[in-house]
Amino acid sequence: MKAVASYGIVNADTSGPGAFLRAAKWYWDELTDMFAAAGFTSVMIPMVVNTENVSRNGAPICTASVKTRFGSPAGYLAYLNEKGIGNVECIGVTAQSMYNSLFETGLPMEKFFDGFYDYAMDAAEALKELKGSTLLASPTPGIGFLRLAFDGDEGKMDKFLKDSAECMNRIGADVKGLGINLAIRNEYWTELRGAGIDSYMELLDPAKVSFAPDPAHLHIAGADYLEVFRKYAGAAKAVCFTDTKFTDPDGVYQTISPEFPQDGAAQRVYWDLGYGDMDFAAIYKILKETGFDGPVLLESKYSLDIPKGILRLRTFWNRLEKNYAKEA
Amino acid sequence: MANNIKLSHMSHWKTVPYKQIDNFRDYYYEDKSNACYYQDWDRILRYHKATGYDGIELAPWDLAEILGLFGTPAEFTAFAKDHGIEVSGMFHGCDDSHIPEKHDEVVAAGKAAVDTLKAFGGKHLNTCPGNNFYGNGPLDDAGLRTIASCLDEIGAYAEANGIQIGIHNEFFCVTNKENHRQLIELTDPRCVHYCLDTAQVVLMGDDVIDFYETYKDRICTFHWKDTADLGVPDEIRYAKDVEICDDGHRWFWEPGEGLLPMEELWKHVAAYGFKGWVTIEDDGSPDYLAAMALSSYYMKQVLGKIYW
Repeated sequence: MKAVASYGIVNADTSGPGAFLRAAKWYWDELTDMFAAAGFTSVMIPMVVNTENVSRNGAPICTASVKTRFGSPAGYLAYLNEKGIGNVECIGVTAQSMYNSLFETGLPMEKFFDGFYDYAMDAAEALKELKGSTLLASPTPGIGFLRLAFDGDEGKMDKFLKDSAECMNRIGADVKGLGINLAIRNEYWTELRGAGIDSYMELLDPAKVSFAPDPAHLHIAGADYLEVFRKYAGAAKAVCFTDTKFTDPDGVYQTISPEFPQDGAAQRVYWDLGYGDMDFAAIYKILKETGFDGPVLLESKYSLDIPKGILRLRTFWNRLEKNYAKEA
Repeated sequence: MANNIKLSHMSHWKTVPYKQIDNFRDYYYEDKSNACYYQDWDRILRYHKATGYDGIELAPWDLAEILGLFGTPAEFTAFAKDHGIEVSGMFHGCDDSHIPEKHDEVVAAGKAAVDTLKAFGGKHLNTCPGNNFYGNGPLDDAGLRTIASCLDEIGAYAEANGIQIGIHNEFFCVTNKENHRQLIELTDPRCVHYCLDTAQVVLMGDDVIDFYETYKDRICTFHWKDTADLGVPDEIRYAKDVEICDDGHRWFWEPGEGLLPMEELWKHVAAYGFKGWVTIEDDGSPDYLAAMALSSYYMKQVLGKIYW
């Protein structure tokens, strides 16, 4: 297994006051050094759609920004190599980012998946240059956002879900030609929440698209995450590790603020890896038993203290490996 | 202290994910850090009041999140009012205003922004007149006139709705050092006003005192901030992605921390007898709460002794 540190540890907008700092290249220069100093040689980058507002920043979170500052993804890879990072193993693309960009780009919902396809292929081509293996895709925006877009019309939402599967098959086929795998993520607040992944995977061609299970998202949606890992680990090209203590008793997944619950006893969803309730020792054991040998995405999503969070990632992974070796 | 000036703060906090954190103590113990102090509007508005502000200027890129949390502009405004804070205005960008074919679209977006600000109960729609210089400039007279015609139409609509639009030029904007005064002259003074961003004008290479004296009749409000860069060379202002520097260089500083002749300018403001909103803008600060407090102190304890 290969530990891959995710840049998703940063939420450019909410990881503390001073969002302008996190939009600047120098901030990410230092962050890159921190990941290398913590012993990570491979990273995952969640990339958003290229829009003017994001592209002008120095954060390497869209291909336009990478190309402006480093000339090309290959130029960015040379920069990463110089700092001790060997490759970008995975890039994440999300339908939520696509949805968020519609306001700025003016693209209508009817053209949603044309736009998503272009966004995903652009990311996959960059990933090839970055010596990566897997494009991670989250196929639908949040349920709350879709209900708004379709006025709660369940028929339209069902069709949208089927269209998304068609789009994933198309992306999966075309990224294969680039030597890239396509893996699906299932956030608890999208249409693919929890056990819903089973019926969705039936719409997909297993030769082109795999599933990258994530315990926190499965758990919040009420699924037995260990069972899901047992079912999908064998065919997985990548898996995601996110931690949580959140259980969503109030159905926040349906709102337009699903990752920041506005009410209830717990208002924080994601926890730094090792600080939540997920049983990663059991997951690690399942992965070993099934012979999984791909990238493990370590994502302390939206950590509240980024430098400390990066060190915690390393501590988490070291302990996991050490404890497994001890038991074995 | 007299009461001619109302102090506002431009909201650069970016996405504030919560309306209110109810379980503040529990949230604190989750990480034992100061993160929970900067995550909800309830506390951020308290900081506005506690540090001496009367208002907040909204950023349009935050609207989707704000409306997601509050439902309607009126709900946000009522929430802010409960904290002793008014909405003074909102920023707006007239992208593509120099392109004749985009005229109707730009005017429609401007009118929509007027409607939005009216719903928030604000007064000043501080309006960047166009795109960045890079990729769009330099403009000829026809291009300037095209922008002016958009501003005039939006301005007339705004006046009819009790809103004042104020041109807010930026040092990397398509209307720049050579023609930003010309743009003002081309617009209708009855309905197109000016929001003087004290730093932006100087970064462009203009003289802020002379600019104020020339256009004081048009200036309806201020973005008050300092800079340590008196006149940025063309090759920087006209380059790509200038606003957020790759190396961390800051264009903007809290009042008193840069090189602008703030007290001299304020004496001119006093002599004219300006009355209304002055908005502190501290984009680039690494610590907004400290920046808010520093700025408020300077405005009230230094400039306030001259005029308030």
